[in-house]
Amino acid sequence: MTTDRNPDCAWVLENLDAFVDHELGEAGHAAVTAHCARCGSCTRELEMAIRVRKLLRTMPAFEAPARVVDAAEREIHTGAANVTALPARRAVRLVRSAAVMAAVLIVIIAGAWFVERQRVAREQKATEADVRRATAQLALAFDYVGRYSNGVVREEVLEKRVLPPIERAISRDPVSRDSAKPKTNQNGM
Amino acid sequence: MTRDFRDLAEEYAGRVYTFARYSLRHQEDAEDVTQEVLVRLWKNHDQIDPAATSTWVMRVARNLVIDLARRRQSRAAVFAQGADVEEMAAQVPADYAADAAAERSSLRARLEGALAELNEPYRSIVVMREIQGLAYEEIATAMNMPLGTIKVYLHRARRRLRELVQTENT
Repeated sequence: MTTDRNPDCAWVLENLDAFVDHELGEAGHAAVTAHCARCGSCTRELEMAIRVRKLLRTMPAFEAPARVVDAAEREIHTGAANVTALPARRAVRLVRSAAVMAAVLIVIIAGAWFVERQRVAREQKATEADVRRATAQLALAFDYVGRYSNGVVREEVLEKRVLPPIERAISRDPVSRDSAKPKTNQNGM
Repeated sequence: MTRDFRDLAEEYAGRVYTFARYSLRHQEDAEDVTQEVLVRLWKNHDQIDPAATSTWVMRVARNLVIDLARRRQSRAAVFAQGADVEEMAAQVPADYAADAAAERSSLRARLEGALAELNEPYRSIVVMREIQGLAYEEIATAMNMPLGTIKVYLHRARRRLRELVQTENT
């Protein structure tokens, strides 16, 4: 480096870092100092260089989390053949995340399906009007059987063969059961 | 084996993790890189010259950082992303954090932003030299570059940092 000339700003700025690092030599150091004494612009640059350098050197070093060392040790213990390469390790983590998300999705879908099923079941329950209508039709049917069978279909046959399945069907639904019984009795069946 | 591995890990894990954190600015990625370097170090430590272990470790770390960065959407995008300064601050050792909380200046915040804006290989060189205090020769070996190139790049990086800090200041 040449220092036998009066250094201009460009030369000083080019050598600021060397100056800050004390790598400029005695003559170069003196030349920069002399130039900065009469050049405010270069002095500001020099101050900034010193401050930036100082701040950079006080930026923190991080300590590796213990889990990283533990994981590396575990990986080593599993044997060289089983060492997971960096991309694969990330893939494993991705697959694990995807599996968790899939499980959550399944739970949500199953929950929605269950709620919907409950709603449909509630809607499918017979209303009181439905039961009244069905009971009236049943009474009509029995009346028909009684009228045209000329006593062939006896009461015990009705009680053993016809009524039980009807009662069973009605008893499955509490609304039907409560509403149907009085109606059936009303029609003398 | 465990004791020896722990010794190696104690010596190099922090150095690798710090480099990866500043280079990738992503905690999980930095942890992955550190874990991988430690595993490779253990697998190869018999073949590595003890005097060259430090540079070997930094070279592997640097290669893994680049590999990981390439695997992201694009290397340029990764290295141009804004610094995760807040996340980094949360990882700072408590004693440093206490000091930093008291002394944190706007210049420091601007410098962190400027460092994040530096492209590769400038940022790696700055981190190794200025933050981690590695010798030029160590950096040259780790980066697989001639010594003169490292000095030129470092000079450019410092000048760029000053420009960025002053630009953000205006």
